[in-house]
Amino acid sequence: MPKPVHTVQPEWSRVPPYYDGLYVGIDGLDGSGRTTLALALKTRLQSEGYPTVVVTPFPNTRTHQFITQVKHDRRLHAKSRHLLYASLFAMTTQHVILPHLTAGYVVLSDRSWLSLYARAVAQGLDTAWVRTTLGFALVPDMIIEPQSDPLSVSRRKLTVSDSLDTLESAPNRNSFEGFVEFQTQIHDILEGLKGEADWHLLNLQPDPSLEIDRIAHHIISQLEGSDAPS
Amino acid sequence: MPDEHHIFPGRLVVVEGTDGSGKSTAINLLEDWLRAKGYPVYRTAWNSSPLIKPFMRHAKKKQWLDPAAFSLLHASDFYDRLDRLIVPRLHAGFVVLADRWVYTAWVRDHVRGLDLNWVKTLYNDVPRPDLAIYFSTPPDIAIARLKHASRKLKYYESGQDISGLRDPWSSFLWFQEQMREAYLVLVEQGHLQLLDATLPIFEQQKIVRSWMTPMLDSLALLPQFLDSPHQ
Repeated sequence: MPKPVHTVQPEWSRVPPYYDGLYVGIDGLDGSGRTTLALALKTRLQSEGYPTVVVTPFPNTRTHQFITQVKHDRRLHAKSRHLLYASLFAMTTQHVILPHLTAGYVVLSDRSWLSLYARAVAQGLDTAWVRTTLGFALVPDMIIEPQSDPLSVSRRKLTVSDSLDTLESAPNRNSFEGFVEFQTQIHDILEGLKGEADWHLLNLQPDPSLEIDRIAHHIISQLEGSDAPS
Repeated sequence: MPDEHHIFPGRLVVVEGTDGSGKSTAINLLEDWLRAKGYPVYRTAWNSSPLIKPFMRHAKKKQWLDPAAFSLLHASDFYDRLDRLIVPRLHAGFVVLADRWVYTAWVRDHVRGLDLNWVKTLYNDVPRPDLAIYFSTPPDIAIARLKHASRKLKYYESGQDISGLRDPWSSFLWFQEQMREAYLVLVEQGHLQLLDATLPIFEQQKIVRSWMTPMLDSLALLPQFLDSPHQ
């Protein structure tokens, strides 16, 4: 069932008017289980016969390497860094997301525009400006957020990384408190955006299978245009 | 861009115009002139951030950039240079000579079909130059100059990403005509001062230097030039 395309800036004209697939944003804090959830959902949907692809904001390996290099470099200021991320997301939207949606895929976006927005605003950039820069981005048909809290994801980060990223820390605090504070800001910004989408908070602990079943059912009902309860 | 001029101690002079309009030659001569007079000078060129440019080159070569990605990546490049390289020098009293400014983005991205207000918002807090000159050249003359210099045109430079034309020179001519119209609107609106870039170079320099001289009056010289008879 064709769906009208909505962009963050409603008057954005450079997109096709309809697509046949479903665009699902998976947003939430880093370390909340987004990627694990995306892969599990993909497996589930594909097994039911629905073509599914998982995308990240970076269109390919080369751009991912470049981002890693820029992050290590540290010289790029927040505004320039956000514009770079927005540019890469525009490439992903044009070359990966839109073609798959047009071909009828379920696109699971491991971070939609909302995550880019939340991170940029948490880093002190102006909300209206950031939203404008992301005007090209597609508004997801639904958002899935793995339930998490800033303290838990910060602790988890220390179990999988050598150190905490200072770009993702509030200034003038010790590194752990700064990191938790930054995650709290992102959490609060995402909370403020919940009215903008069909938003589903998933509790994946201790057993994610029931929640994945529930959301897969909801996705399928959306794809087929039925009113099946989620 | 704010309506008011910037309030930094330095001066910001911008040259704009199509490729082959003679901007680079003019800016070379202006740089030498200012240095000889003892002013601290800094040059910056469009699309030259040392952090962004390597990736930009790669992305252009692979033709990854749709108009929005193209626009945002150039804005990222611009803000990197603005924050790290340009604003500190304007604070320090330099004359910054910029080979293209936000007007290039306004014109190119709009010709690429993006909403002009959207593009302007990307650059909403960029300092307004003390002087911004449009080097006005009919596209056929610019093309003749580029061909004379044996330049090969690149995919985005010639506008082939939007023109749909296979011949780079035909595409370039079409693209430059569109750009020229957009530049002339900015001249009418008072953003840019028009210079006839078909005049002999020394005549162009006389005109530009006469525009710049009043703005240099109260500008501090480099220490070694203070009390110099050459100022």
